[in-house]
Formats: sequence, structure tokens, C-alpha cells
Amino acid sequence: MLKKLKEIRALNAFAKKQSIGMQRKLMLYWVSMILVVFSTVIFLLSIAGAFSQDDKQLHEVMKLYLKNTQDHLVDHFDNITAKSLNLSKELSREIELELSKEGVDFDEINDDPQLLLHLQEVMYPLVNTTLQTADCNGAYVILNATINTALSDAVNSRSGIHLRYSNLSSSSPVSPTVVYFRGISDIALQKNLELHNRWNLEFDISQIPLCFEMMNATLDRPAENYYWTKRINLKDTWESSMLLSVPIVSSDGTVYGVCGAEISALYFQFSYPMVEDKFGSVVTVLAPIEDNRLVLAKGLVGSVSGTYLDSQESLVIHQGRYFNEYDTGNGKYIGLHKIVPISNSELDDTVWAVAIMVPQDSYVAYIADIKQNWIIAAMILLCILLAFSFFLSRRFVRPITESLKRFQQEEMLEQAMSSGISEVDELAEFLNARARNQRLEQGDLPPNIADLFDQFIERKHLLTTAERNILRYYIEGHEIADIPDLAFISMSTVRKHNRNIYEKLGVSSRDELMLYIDLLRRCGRLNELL
Amino acid sequence: MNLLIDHLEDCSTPNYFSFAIRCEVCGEFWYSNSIPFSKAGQVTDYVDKKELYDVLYQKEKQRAQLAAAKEAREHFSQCPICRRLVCDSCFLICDEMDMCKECATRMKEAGEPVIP
Repeated sequence: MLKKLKEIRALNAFAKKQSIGMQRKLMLYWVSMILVVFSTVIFLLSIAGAFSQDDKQLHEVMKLYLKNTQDHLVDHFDNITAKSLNLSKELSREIELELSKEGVDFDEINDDPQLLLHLQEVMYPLVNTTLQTADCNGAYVILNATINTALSDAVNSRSGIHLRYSNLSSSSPVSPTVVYFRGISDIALQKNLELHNRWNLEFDISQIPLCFEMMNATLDRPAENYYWTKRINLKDTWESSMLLSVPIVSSDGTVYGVCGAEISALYFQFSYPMVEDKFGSVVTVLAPIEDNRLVLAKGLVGSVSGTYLDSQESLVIHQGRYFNEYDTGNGKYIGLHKIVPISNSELDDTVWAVAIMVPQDSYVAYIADIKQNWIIAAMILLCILLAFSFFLSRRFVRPITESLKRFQQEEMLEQAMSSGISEVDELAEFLNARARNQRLEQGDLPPNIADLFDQFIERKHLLTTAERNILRYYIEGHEIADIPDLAFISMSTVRKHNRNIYEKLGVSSRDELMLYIDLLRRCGRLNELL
Repeated sequence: MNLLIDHLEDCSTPNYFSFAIRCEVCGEFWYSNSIPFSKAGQVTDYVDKKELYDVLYQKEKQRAQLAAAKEAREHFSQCPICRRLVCDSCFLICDEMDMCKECATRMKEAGEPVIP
């Protein structure tokens, strides 16, 4: 490293010794200045946050998406909860009424198929109405009773009705085709309902989290105790769902069972489609948060087309300045989440969060595109500036180089042409003056001056003897006042001779005459005048 | 200068100094500017004082004569042929040599007077 530094310094010293063209040097200054200004602008832009604008923009977009999704989801789930609570109340009243009519206690309905059938006949319209009116894909009621307590799995087997929509599609998430998933088949026959291909007479409540605990809890107000189960696989099917569980509580506090609504993973996908944004495919997720992880396997995921998100994954949450990172281990997603209190039960402490996220890869690709555009624009600007600097330096140097060429060809010396740059003109003037002096010192005269001298000397023949005598006095260095004494003539005569001398020699004053005499003396041609 | 001084004729009075030169060709007189005596009009009863004034008069007269010669130098030239002192009107600028009017006539030289 040190060696390289030394080499660079040696190279720099060598370069300094080299003679560099003016244009190249000027261009170098221009380029340096442009690069400094360019770097400063880039630096200021980065400080001002121009390059993190996309992160901010994504944050704003995500925030908006999250707010809309949260509002929609909370509305949706509130609606289902309200319908389910109403169902619970209705069922409680109907069951209590029927039991009082029959004159039996609720505990006596176990092992009584007729009574259970009668109760289900009473409950069916209520469940069906809930299914039709609530924005869900299933509604159910489970009584805390079984048709045969003698069976081995009677502990987990409970009688009830579960109605579901069978043919969900994205174009029409809710269609009127209702299938009979759980319940006594007589009702399906009566109501002309199709049995689900995985129909069962009773529910297996071991599949439903906290169902057993809810049925055996002592509850006053069911509205205070409802909860959404984590996503469960529906027994014997490929489908999975979240169930809202609301207890059916009698007036004396006896829990008859639970009822509620179902939202399947498929229904959620149709209800919360993926949104295509410039940043990527925006996916909606409703999942519990456990150990700073978003557990998708226990929640619901909206449409994931365009992403590699698997609804069985756990996403590790990394909090960020503008958005969070959700790491699946295989890929990363970015987005925002917010806690939503969809459950209200002392039995369930699950923290639910709604999240919206986009694949980080698509965002990175988008940013890379933007960056590429920035880089291309910056390069184009830089090239334009460099070309401009080249043009300016050339324009600046051209008159100087042309003047130099003229110097070399000795044109400017005589022509005294203006280069347009005062310093160059001054230099030309200086060089001209020096060249003139050198010629005079060498005895050479510029051609026009030599001609003038020749003409001046030539005109001496026009002078009379008296005038020539007076001129001689001047050449000898005498003043006008000396002439009358020297030549024994009056001053008027001297003046008259002077006028004649000036006129004949072509000078306008004595000073000019003396200048000629002085120049001729310097050139060594004064003798020619005598 | 000496030539001119020699040709100056004294026209002074007790109160003024004045000199004249006569052109030897045309006979016209030229008079210098009058210069007043510094003690002109002052009368003294003392003999010694009168003697002092006489010396002063002579000194001022010499200075006036020199000034008159300088003044005359503006107007008089010496003919190189006949050596006479002539005024500018009688002195001709000729091609070969300047000379007085009479010499020029005699030698048949054409010339132009300094003052026509």
C-alpha cells in the first residue's frame, strides 16, 4: 500500500514537471470543479433525503394500505361477531324455551336423539340466517351434549349444526349453495340440503381450541367472552378455517354450548385479494404474534399470487425506520402490521395482528430501477457538463492559441490585431515593443520607419544653403535662441527659415524634427542628412 | 551681440533709456523700448548723493543697452556679402545665401524679404 502511494506520488511529481496544454489544464480545472459541485449536490440531496424518498413513499403507501385493510377487516369481523352474538342470544332463548316446553333439564338431552333432533330443528333457521346475513362462509352451533355417551370418543363428540358454503370462487365469494357439514342428517333431508362429502353427525371438539373450556366455564355475559380460534384444519378435509366461538348461555348461567361463524382460508383469500402496486404485490395477513413472530400457520393469509408466501410459515419481525422486515427464512417481505383486538375472552390471550406486506425482492427491483434511472440521468448530466467544460475551455483557449500561431508567423507584430483577450493583447504589445527595440538596437528598422527615414533624407535636397546651415545648428544641438548670434541673422529670419525647413522636410514642429534627428542619430544615418 | 551693441545709438534722456539702430540699406531707424531710470525725477541737494545717482544711471543704462541689443536681435541681420547691418525688410531669403536687398540686386539673386 505504502509502495503504491509512493508510486502515485512519484507519478504526480513527474506529471507536474510535464508541460501540459492550456486547454487540457483548463479542462482539468473545469472537470475538477464540476466533480466537486456534482459530489456536493449528490451529498446535499442524500442529506435532504431525496434518495430515501422511495422508503418514505413506501411507508406512506403501506400505512394507507394498512389503515384501509385494518378498517375493512375490523368492520368485517365486528359484523360477524355481532351476528354471532345475536345468534347466541337467540339460540339461548329458543333452547331455554324448548327445554321448558319439554320439561327437561339441559343435562337430560344427552342420549336423547329425538330431543336433539327437535332442538336442531329449532336451531337450524337461526344458524342458516346467520350464515346468510353474516359475511362469512360458515355458521355453526355446538351443544354441550352428545347423542350417545356410551361411545368411546363421546368425551369429544358434541351434537350441533354446521352449515357451510361449498362452492367459493373469487368472482362470487358468497353463493347460495349451502352444504350440511355437521348435524343430524334428517334436517338435511327436511331442508333439501346437500350433505358435505365429509359429513359427520357430531363435532369433534378436541379439534376446536378452548371449546371444551368454554363449555364448562361459568359465564355471565357472552358478549364478554367470545374469541376467534387459531386456524384449524377441518376434520377429514383439506380445508382450514378460523372459527368465532361465542358461548350460548342460559338465563341461569348454564352454558348450553358454543356458536359462531367460520372464515375459511379460501374465503379469506377471496375476501382479501392481492393488490398489485408499483412496489410489488401487496398481501394481507391476519395472524397471531408469538415470540416476535407472525405465525401464518395459525392465521389467515389473503391472496398470495405473485409472491412465494406460504400460509404455513412463521415470519420473524424486524422493526425498521420506515417499514418492518418479515423474514421467512427463505425470503423476506417488507410491510407494516398492527394489533387488532378481534377476540374478547379471558380464556384466550392470543395477540392478533393484521399485516400488509410486499416481497422485498420486488421492492429491491423497483428501487434498483429507480437507482438505475438516477445513475443514467446523473451520467448523462455529467457527460453534458464534461462536454460543456470541453467546449468552454476550447472556446477560451482558441483565441490564445490563434494569437500564438500569429506570433509564430510574426503576423501580429505588424498588424497589431486584437485577440479579444486583454492580457493576450498586452502580451502582444509587449512583444511588439521588445521586437522593435531589438531591431533598433541591431540597427534594423521596421520597413515603414525605414521608408519614412528615406523620404526624410531625400527631402533634404529641397533645403537652401542657409536652411541647411540652420539645420546643421540643430543637429549640433543648438537651440533656436542661439541661431541669431551664430549665424548673424535676426530671429525673424530664423523663424522664417524654420517654417521653410519644416515645410520642406514634411514635419509639423521642431519637436518632430528633433525626433527625426534623434532617430537618425540612433540608426547611424545622421551623416546622410548633413 | 557685440555687433549690435556697437551699432546702437544712444537716445537716452535723464529720465528714460532708449537706443536706436539705423538700417544701413534703407536708413530707417529702429528704436528700442524706453526703460525709465529708477531715480527719475528725484532731485537731491547733496553732492555725494548726486554722484551716487550718476553711477546708478550709468549701470542701468548698460543694462538697458544690453536689453536693447537683445531686442534688436529680433529685427537685424548682417549681410554676409557687404557685412552691413540691415533690417528684416531689407534682408532677403535667397536660394543660395541670404543677403541684403542691394547685394541681391547687384548679384541678380532672387529672394524674399523676411518681412515683406
